[in-house]
Amino acid sequence: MDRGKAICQELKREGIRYVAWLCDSETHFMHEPIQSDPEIRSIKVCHEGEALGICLGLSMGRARGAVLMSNQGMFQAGNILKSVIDTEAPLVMLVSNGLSHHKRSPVVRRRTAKNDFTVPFLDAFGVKHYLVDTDEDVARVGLACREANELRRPVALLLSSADFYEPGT
Amino acid sequence: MERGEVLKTLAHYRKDEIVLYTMSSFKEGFQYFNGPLDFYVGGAMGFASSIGLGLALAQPRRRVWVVDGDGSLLMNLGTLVTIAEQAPGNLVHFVMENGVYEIPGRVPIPGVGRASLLGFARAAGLTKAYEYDEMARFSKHVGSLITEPGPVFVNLKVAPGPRQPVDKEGKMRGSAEMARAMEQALSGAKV
Repeated sequence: MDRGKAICQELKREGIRYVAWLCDSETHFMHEPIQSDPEIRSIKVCHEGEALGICLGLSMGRARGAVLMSNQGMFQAGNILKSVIDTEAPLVMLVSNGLSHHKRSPVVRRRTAKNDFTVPFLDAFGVKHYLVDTDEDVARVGLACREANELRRPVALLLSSADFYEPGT
Repeated sequence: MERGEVLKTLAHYRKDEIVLYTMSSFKEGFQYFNGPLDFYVGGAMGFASSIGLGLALAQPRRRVWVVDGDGSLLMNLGTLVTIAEQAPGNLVHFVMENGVYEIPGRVPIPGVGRASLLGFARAAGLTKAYEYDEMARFSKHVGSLITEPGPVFVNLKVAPGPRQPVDKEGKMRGSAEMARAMEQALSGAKV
C-alpha cells in the first residue's frame, strides 16, 4: 500500500472521517487518497485557517477531522491554531515538513533548510509533533490521534514527500 | 437596523439551533445566547463561519446559525466559496454589517460603501443570499430564512452597537468551557 493510502487507513482506524485540506507539493502524495477514499469526506479550503476552524467545529459537534496543510499555510493560520488550543480541541494536523527534500537538489535543500521555522513554530505553540518520513513512520499517525484525544490538544505530524513530486510538473 | 433588535428577533425564533457569534455582537447577544448550544468566538477573527461549517457537517440534523461581522468576513472571504462547495443544508450565515471595526474604536472597514458582501456571497456560488436594511422587512422574512434549506447567507445592515466594553462584567465563559458544554449537550443528539 502506498504511504498516502496507509495514512488514510490510520486516520480512519482512529475514527477520522473528515479531512479539511489545502494542496501542497510536499504532501502531493496525499491528494489522491484523500479525494478517492469513500469513507473520508474531503473538504477543500481556500486558506489553511479555514481547515483548522472547520475541524474545531467538527470536534465541538462530536465528529473527528484532520487537517492537511503546508507548513507555510500553518504559519498563516497561527491565530486560529491558538483558538484550537484554547478550546482544548483534539486535532491531528498533517503538515508538510519543509526539511524533507532529501532526495531533491542540494540547492532546494539548502534554500529550504535555511528558512525552516516549522518545528520552532510548533514548539512555540506547545504542539507536540512527530516526523512521518518513511513508510515505517506511518504508525505514528495513530499514536498522534490518540495523543490528541488524551491531551485534548492538537498534535502535528510532519509529512515528508513520499512521491517526490516535482513542484509545477 | 439596530443590531440588538436583530439579535432579539433571532432569539425569539430560536428553538434548538446551535448559535455561534463573534466580536461586537457579544454586547447585545450575550443576554440571549449563553447556553450550552451557544459559542462565542472571541479570538480567531474571521473564522466563526469555518467553525460553524464544521459544526453543520458534524450535526447535519441540527441547524447552525453563525452571526458574523463584516470586518471578520473580510478576513476570510474564501469561507464563502468553501461553504458554497460543501453546501451544508443546515447552515445559516448571518453577517452584521455595521461598516466599522467596532471594538477597537469604530474604525471604518476597508471598502465601506463600495464593496458588497451580498455580492461576494453570490459570486462565491451561494444562491440563497439575501440582504436586509429594514427591520420590518427582516422581521417578516426571518421565519423563512431560518427554515429554508441552506446554505443561507443573510447580510444585515446594522448600526454600530452601544459604546461599552465587550465583557464589562466578566461574564464570558472560556472557550474550552463553552466547547465542553456544547459537546455534552450534543452527546445524545442523533447525527
